[in-house]
Amino acid sequence: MTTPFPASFEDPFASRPGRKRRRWPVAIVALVVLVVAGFIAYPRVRATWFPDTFDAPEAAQLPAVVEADATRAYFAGPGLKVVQMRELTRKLTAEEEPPASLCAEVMTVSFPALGTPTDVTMLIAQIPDVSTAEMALGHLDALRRWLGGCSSSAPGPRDELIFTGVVLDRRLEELT
Amino acid sequence: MARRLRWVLASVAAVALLGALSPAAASSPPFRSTRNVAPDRTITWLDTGDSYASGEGATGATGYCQQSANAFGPKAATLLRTAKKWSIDAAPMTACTSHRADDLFNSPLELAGKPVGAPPERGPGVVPDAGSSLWEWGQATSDVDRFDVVTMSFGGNNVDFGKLITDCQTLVPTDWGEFFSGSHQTGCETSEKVLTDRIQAFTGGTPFEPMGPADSPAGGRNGSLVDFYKTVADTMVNDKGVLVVVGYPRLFTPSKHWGRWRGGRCNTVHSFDADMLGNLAVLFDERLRAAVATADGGRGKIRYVSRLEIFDDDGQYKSLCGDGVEWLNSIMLFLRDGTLRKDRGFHPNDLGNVATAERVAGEVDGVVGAPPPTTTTARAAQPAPTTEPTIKSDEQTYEIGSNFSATCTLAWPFAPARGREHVQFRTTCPAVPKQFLFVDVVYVGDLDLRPSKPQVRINGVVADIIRSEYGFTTLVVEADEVLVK
Repeated sequence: MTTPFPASFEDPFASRPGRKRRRWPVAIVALVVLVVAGFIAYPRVRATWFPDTFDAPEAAQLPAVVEADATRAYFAGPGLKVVQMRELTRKLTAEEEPPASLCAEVMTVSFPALGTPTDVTMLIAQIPDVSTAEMALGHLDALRRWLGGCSSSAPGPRDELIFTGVVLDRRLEELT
Repeated sequence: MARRLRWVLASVAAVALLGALSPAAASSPPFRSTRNVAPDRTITWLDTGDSYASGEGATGATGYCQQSANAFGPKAATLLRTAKKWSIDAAPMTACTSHRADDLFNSPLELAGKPVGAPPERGPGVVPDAGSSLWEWGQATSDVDRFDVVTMSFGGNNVDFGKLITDCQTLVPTDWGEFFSGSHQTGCETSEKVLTDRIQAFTGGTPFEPMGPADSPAGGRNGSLVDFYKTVADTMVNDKGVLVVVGYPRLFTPSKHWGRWRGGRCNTVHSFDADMLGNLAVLFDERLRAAVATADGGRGKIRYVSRLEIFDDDGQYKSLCGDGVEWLNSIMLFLRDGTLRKDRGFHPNDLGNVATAERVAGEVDGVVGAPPPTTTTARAAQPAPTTEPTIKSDEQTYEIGSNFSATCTLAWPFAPARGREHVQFRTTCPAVPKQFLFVDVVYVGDLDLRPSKPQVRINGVVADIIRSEYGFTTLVVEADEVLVK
């Protein structure tokens, strides 16, 4: 009877005293690395492949601008206040938790300087490109939900304000 | 694995079967001009109903009732007049915004003496007397007891749909304090269950109390929606006439079809609420259709036109926030068009009314139209001619090559389209004969066209006349000059 291996062959898979003890720590470390990697990668993968409502605003496909020239001209004229509204909301989302004083200033000074809510909404409604108007209205609406709680102990969800703001920024950049 | 595959295949088959059995799949195809010809008599026609029938949201809607010649009823009559040469009386219109089914025979007191806003083509409308019902108002206008055609859309206000929509959307307050203090508005306040119950109660056996007084066609009786339809068909419609009941569309495209850039909201309404309203629209459509079928009992005298089906357009949704052209007005319209009338939002625009009118015209044509003559006169029964019609008015000739000069209104929501050298836009022109639904204008050069300045003066040449399969025509004008007013 012959064996396929020479007599001196040492089976690399055979367990040996000492090696068995070192395997478990390696497996645990590998597992931890896998979990951490998954923890880091999952939100990115999910945001790309299965985005939640407010994930990755920079990746959301925008509709085409139908009224580019007219919209551009509008933002340079009467629609400038809509751009200014976005500048105000950018301040609010720049910090994780804006100070209550900033919220109060925006609510009582900065926004009233733009006009009444009806004035601002009308300026938004008059944006020649309808989808751009909807983006601006969506942002104002998100602001409405969030800003009311900004100076109190129960601020509303910030994700929506950031999402709609980034979408509006992208559209404004498209038009410049 | 094989078991799992079988389960998947079975699920797919079940879904396909359910799809095949759905009302949409079982419905009749869209209206194509039938072989019927114009009846040999003048047709009497009554348009009644609520805001979805009066034309609230369409261009030209005026007065307390927000009546418009561009509502589906008048537009369907126009299609039959122009495309099939029907003779139709200047039909009375008693459709009125905010009205309920029980207002047809009972007295909506708030109407008394109001300028109701009759469409211009009908001349000055008859102002309803104090205490008159929509039915009495129609009689006062026409002196007709029974009509050949009655078109109506009722029920939305019976289930408080208007108030529901107001609840679900974020309204714009007048000052920032109020604006920000209402920041945690969470959406629709009425639950789907409550609304479902309301729809089922209205479309089920719950009687009106009563349908109308003793001296009305309702004869003082209590009755359900089915009884209501039967009463209208039996007492207001001629024996060979037709009652066309028109339903309600889905306001919002299902949210799974929305662009992600919307952040889960459409016209400030949350996707959850929008889909809930969609489910209710489907239920309402099913229940109205069933009530019509029961009331008709196979006679063919009461027909149902599903606006849900028309606006869903086999998955090419024409509701708000779909991929394509919307047939409903957005929440911003009242600010965009300068009317400041919020109610215009969430109502069909001119396109939605035309699409509905086509289907209504088809139903009317199928019942009231005369069968085509045989052999010797068969040529006269041919469908719409393939050559363009030559239509003349006193002021201007509308032939290819004719000079064109008119003041027109931009037909929003059609956005002007721009090429390298051309601007193309759609208008409606009051001075142009009603045979032409729109005037499409092509202009070499650039134009500053805005919703806030919808009036334009157009000078040019008629380049083409386009006739659709449904019979309505569009004038194409090559403009030499466009003056934005």
